[in-house]
Amino acid sequence: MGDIVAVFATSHAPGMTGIPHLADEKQRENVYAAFGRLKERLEAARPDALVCISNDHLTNFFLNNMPSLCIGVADSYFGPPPEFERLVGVQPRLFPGHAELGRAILREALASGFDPSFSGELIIDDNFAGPLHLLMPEKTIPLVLIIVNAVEPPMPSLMRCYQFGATLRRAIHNQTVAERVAILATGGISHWVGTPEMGRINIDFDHKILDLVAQGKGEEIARLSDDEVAAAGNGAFEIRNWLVALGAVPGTKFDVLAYEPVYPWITGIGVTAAQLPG
Amino acid sequence: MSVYQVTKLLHEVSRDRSLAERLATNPDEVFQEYRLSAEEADAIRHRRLRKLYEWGVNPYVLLKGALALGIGFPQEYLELINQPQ
Repeated sequence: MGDIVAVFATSHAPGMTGIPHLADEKQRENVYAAFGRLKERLEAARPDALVCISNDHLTNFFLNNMPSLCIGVADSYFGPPPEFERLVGVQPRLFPGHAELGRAILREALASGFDPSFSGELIIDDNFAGPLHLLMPEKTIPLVLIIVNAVEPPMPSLMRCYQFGATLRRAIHNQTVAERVAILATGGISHWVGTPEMGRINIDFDHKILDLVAQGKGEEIARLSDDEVAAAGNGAFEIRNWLVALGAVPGTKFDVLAYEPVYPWITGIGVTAAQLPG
Repeated sequence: MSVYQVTKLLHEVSRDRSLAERLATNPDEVFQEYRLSAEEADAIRHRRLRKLYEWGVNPYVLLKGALALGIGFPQEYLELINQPQ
């Protein structure tokens, strides 16, 4: 039986590690301090594996074959690739993978009415490179990558992503290959990527999401309409990734460790951690 | 008209430096390889990001492709994508 020992939901943005100096100093320090606290929590949780949930930025998948959901079953994960290295500003690394845990999640998904694709090789791009650099600058916990399509419509519904979280929870509990499992979901909150509105941030939307996360009301986020989410930019579709993590710990309250609308990073940056017992 | 082919070219340009260089030095050859129409080729040649966006090119791909073509981030990109066609 495995336990979920930590759950984090954070934003990712290449600028966060690529152009930190362009942000207002107080904002940057607040965001970095929050990641520092996550790092401490992660170390205290002593996980055997870290399940990382995010979207792919057209790095592994293209429109010729775009999975709604893909579960990594790789022995290792590499990234960022050259086209992201300068943007994200971190050295490429080879992370160990927890292939057995990935397969356990895959089997549970298939037994639960989900039909994800799976992959024995996934490149880490902006989705995880920055957050992992801040959380694990040296030490590496074996990873399982889960990729959710949040970049090209049609995408899996918000509720479907939340429901997949319950499957992830069951998979973690029912397996015997990793006793202590942490979860990291990254994406959002409001931002516009590559669209004419790029650079805007929808602070009201971000606060609404963070308030619901803090209160353990992930299901309410899952009930938002596509239009409500679109009002916070195409990058806000990435809250799907958060919903998987929230669905894994339904009803659990989260600490909001930071929120900063960082315009040079073109993103409303949120950093949160679940209040798990023990 | 194939938004897919345009998107595919921008996607591959963003990952393949030699393709980006060929696009700069011998664009017609590349456009032919990707079976782009004259209108599509012109949109890329003249950096008509707004038009590409309105055609439905995935904005993540559009941004990555534009960076590979040497378009500056974010000012130049925002100017081009907000330019009326």
